[in-house]
Amino acid sequence: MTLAATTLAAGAAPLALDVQLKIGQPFVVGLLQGSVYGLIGLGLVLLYKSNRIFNFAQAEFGTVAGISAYLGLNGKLFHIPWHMPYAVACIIGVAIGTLTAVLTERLVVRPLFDRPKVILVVGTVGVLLLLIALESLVFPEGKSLPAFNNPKQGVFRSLTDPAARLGFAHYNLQWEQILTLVTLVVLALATVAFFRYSRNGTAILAVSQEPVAAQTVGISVSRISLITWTLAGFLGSVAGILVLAGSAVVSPGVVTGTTLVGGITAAVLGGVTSLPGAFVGGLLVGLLQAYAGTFLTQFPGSESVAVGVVLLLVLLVRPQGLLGREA
Amino acid sequence: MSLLEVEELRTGYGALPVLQGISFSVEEGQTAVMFGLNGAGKTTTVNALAGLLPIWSGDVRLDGKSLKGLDAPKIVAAGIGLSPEGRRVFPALSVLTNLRLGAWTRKSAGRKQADDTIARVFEYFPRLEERKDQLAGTMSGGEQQMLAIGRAIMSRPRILMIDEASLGLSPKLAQTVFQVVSQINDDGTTVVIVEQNVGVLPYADQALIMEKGTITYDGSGADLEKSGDLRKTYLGDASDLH
Ligand SMILES: Nc1ncnc2c1ncn2[C@@H]1O[C@H](COP(=O)(O)OP(=O)(O)OP(=O)(O)O)[C@@H](O)[C@H]1O
Ligand SMILES: [Mg+2]
Repeated sequence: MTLAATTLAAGAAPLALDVQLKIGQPFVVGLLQGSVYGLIGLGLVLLYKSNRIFNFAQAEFGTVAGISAYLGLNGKLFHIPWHMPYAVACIIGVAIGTLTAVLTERLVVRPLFDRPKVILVVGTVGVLLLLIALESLVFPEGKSLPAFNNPKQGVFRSLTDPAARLGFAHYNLQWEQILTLVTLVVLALATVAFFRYSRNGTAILAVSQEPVAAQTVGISVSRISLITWTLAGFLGSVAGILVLAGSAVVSPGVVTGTTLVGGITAAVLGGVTSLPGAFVGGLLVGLLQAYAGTFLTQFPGSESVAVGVVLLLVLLVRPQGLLGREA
Repeated sequence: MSLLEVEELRTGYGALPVLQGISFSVEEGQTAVMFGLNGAGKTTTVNALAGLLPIWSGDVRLDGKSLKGLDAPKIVAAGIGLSPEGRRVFPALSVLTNLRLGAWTRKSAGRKQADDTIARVFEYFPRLEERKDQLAGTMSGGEQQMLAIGRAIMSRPRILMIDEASLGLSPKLAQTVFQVVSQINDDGTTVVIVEQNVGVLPYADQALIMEKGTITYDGSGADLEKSGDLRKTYLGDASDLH
């Protein structure tokens, strides 16, 4: 009796741990990846609301930011290497990524403003390809951006991971992940609040709904367009740096390759015009991918397939998106 | 000097001219009504005055100051408000937000003044107050027209222009709208209305008729009522068929 109980307990313990790991780890990983999708989706929805187009260059602003940050951290000018402080390099990266979006607005979007939307969309694809080409020119491939708490270069050097791990369902969260998650959620909430409560946020909605009427009340459509692209560029740049810091190898087109499809799916799940919807959509996509990758290991590519199936289901059953209202 | 002076105004779309150099003026405190067949160029005229279309040549002066070259936001700030053709309320925003957006150019005047103006709009159109939290796109056509006019007076314009005030409204509601507009006029705002409904004539101090990009009648509303020109414009005479 006692023996049986012990055996059972001994047999059950590792199983329980394994199940918890299988639930806990994908949860964290999925949430993290998902909030990046959410942030990219947020930028897409933002521009969709104001220009009624999908901006295919959205995630690439993030690559530009990541490469700029890397070059700030470990760059060379006339063969003299420099090392900016980590935080400074990141700020410069975000600034350059945002500037790229501003230039896109001025040089591509503005001149094509009154043309059919399809042409504008193709314009953003052109920007994406051009950016990838430029990145290839200035950036030697295969380098990676150090983590925030990298002991040599990070901005939070003292947060050494092994000693300072936080447990969650037997999965050890790293500081890197916590910081990323907090930043992403704060940014998402700030964006939603901007639309709900700020004057410019309301003006963006007004321009997207009735551009002519927006002019008749005295809103400058071109100023609003610039504000929108600045904001979208900022969101894309931050998302890019968060994706690249401490994990992926920085290479031309990398953020587009890893997040654009997820971001578009997030936006569509959210109904294309809903900001909270896009963020929640992003979380769902991330979680779905992570759990599919954990539990459906016998089917290669199950992560993408699961996302595709859910995307189709939502389009068929709830085309207005999960939250289903413009906000 | 008239409050609004339009002199040899020419404009159009792309390379296509629509207004062939029109001139008219409107005195302060009056209500001017512009009639004309479809495609005559009425919307083109008010849109050009509002800065939605560039002025090719000629001039537009408000209180003696030229508005030529100013964009729409500057013209609103200078004192011309437009309730555009087709109403164009912001459909997914509430009635109240629509009105607040109308005061966009008066940011420096502060929230208190905006609230006062909103209260005035609600006096003109009590229906808007009852529905102030409703999404504008879900309102009836008549209510949307009220909102479009209310939104246009939120900028406290010296001249209120309304393009097609009564289109799609029942005769009774059209009369109500005309009465409110005449009240707005009595309260000191000069009014320019584009209209196809002759029911507006009793409210018109001045009447204009537009045909093919030119002004063919400019005189008092009472004279027009007597002259039969309006009848000719709308019902046509035999020569128009050829
Ligand atoms: N966006 C545009 N592009 C090209 N031509 C236009 C445009 N808008 C109007 N037009 C043309 O300009 C002329 C005048 O149109 P406008 O809208 O000013 O007429 P209207 O008097 O307001 O007519 P309605 O009573 O039907 O509103 C018409 O021949 C019309 O086809
Ligand atoms: Mg018209």
